[in-house]
Amino acid sequence: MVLAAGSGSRFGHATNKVWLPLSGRRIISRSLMNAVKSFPKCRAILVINPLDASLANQIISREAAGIKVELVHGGQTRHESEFNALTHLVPAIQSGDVNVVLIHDGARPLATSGLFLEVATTAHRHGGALPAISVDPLEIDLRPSERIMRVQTPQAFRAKELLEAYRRAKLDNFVGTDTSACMERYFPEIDNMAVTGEVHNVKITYPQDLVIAEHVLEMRGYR
Amino acid sequence: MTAELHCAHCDEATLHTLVYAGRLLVSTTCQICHTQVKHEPGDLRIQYVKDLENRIVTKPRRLWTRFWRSPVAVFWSFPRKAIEQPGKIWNEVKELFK
Repeated sequence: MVLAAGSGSRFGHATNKVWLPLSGRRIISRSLMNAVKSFPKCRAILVINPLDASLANQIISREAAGIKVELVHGGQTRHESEFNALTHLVPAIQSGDVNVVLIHDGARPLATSGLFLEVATTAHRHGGALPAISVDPLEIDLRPSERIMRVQTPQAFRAKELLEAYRRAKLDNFVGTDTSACMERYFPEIDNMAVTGEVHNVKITYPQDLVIAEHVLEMRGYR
Repeated sequence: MTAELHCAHCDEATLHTLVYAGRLLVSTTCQICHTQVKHEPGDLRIQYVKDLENRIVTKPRRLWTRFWRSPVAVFWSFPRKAIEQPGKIWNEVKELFK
């Protein structure tokens, strides 16, 4: 499940950053292709803003041809978008066809297919997994004894528990900051394992991130 | 092209103007404080030449793939795109030397 439902702009008709070109392909198609590379038989869901539907179809047919992508309309928040996508998967989750769900931020085009595979395998074994990298305490002026991890996506969880967590969150009006926050609230007994994240798995937020991402892609031979 | 990105100077999400030369980002400019982020111009020109070579080498394969996907659309758009190509590249080169 790749999330790309951001509104694009609070100011008017600007492009949502996930649709920006990055070394010849859109950020979102890089995120999507990396996500599906390791799982050729899995379902791929792209959660979009309804206003971006025609752009999404155009880009998928041009840059992700050969991949069957299911488009789902997102909501006002990331949490609501995740819930919409999970609702779309209800029959498959209940029948057991889908047993692990990976959620990835569309603005992270540099996560490697190896990371997706590791997160999925860990979640299948333990119930939940997310990539994390440690933060140098000096970087954010912490005491050396304090440990802070920088959490990334893709995050993965067993599908039935994830769906149940989001259903309960809906009833409680709980909005989590990310998927793991919701899982930890409703299923604290499930092990949410940290796997080693990737330094290059940046979320495109600042203009500088685009420049860095171009350099990383150049190093990788634009793959 | 405009997109909302977080401006380090304004410390909030603002609209940015993005300029590309082919597949490479030339610059981003915050529309509020006009802070500009760009590659080193020398690096970018070298990179552009490499990228242009790659675009030329891979063009036949990309065109062929696109043709098989939607032959009618490619057939009708090809003459216009071929005519526009020199102007497009000239504009890209101008961006690199601004």
